[in-house]
Amino acid sequence: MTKNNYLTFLQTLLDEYVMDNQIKEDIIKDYDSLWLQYEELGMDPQSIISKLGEPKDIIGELTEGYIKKETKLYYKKKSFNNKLIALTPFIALVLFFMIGFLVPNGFIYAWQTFLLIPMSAIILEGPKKNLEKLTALSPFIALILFFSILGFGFNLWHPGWMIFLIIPIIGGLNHPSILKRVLISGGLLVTAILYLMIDQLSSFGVIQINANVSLPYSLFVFIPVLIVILYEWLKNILKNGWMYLILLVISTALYFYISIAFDLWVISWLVFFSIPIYAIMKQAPKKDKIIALMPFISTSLFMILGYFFNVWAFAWLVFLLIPVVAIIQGK
Amino acid sequence: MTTQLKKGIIELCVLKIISDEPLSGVHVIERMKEMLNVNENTVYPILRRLTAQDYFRTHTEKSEIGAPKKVYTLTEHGQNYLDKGLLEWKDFMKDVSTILGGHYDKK
Repeated sequence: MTKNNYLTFLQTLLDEYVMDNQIKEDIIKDYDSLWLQYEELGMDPQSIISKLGEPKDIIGELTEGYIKKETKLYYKKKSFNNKLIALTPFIALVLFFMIGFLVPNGFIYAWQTFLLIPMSAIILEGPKKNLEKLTALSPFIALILFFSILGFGFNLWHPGWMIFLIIPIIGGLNHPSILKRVLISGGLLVTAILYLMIDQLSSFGVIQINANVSLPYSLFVFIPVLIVILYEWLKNILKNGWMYLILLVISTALYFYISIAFDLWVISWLVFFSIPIYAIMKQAPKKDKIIALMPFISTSLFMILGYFFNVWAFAWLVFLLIPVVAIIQGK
Repeated sequence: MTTQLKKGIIELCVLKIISDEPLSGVHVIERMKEMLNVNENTVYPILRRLTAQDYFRTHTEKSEIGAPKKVYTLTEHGQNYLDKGLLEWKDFMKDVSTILGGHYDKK
């Protein structure tokens, strides 16, 4: 390596840091002078480099106290993102009232503006990979499409509910195994399309299928998906103990008992929350437990308030607990 | 010996060497190498940092035949820092000698 190469390389490394140009010039000038002085002592370039150090070895010491340009950009972007996330609740509130008062029957849709809060956090600070980001966003996308467009927009509550299948379909694409990706996402997609076709052909009278049996018939397409789910589930049971199996049996028994004995089919399914709640209590870090539990607590409260007290119009407010608790916990 | 402790000691030695007489970078590097067998790479960054902290002032000595040399001289601020460092070093050495020599109260 010649002196010029050495100094150019050092300059390139220094340029990666947020450092005054004058300081950089001074460092380069000093190394130039040190090189020349050693050269005068009769040293060859290799010996001089061993005296002065390879640029990549000395750059750390020379730039102590300075940050890298990319680090500065990262923090700048992060700080901007955090400000934007912090602003979202206010933006959501303003949009809520604007849609509520300005759009006819606007309050029916307006609550969805609060979904912007978790959505903005996922978009700006969520998973780095696009597919993972999309997976995290999919419940919110499905919710908005279902209520605002398919449901209230086109009165397609059925088969509009099928939009929620995008959650496991997108989620399945994250599986590391290509085979399982195809089985889960592909299987679900094919099932959904088949079911939709049968349902539509039947509703237009093209084919005659009893509505009550069309669903069970279409379930056969779920077989590959069920195999994967059953395999993963059994693997987890063997690894994590039998508690999940016990919970499933108890939940199922309770579900049928409550539903049949008290005719509470609308809300009895909440008992199945016991399984994810147990998993969170067992596995989530202590400080994250309450955040992870909030969606289940909010949904249960929403259903109880709506069903028993008939306050569906206001019950959605309990979903605000999710971002509020997350903010309080500092997430 | 931890890197931080070693770095602190080398820093003190550089201050002491320059307090005896103003020297150019190459002379400091060579003297440190001779007496302490330190990695020469580390000396210039220390000189830079101590200069930035106002412990040294520099002037360039131009030469008719050779390269210009940056010469480092200890400032008053540097002298105070060195004096304080030497006192701390002596106390530290005294305590270390006591422990290593076994001359301490074994309860």
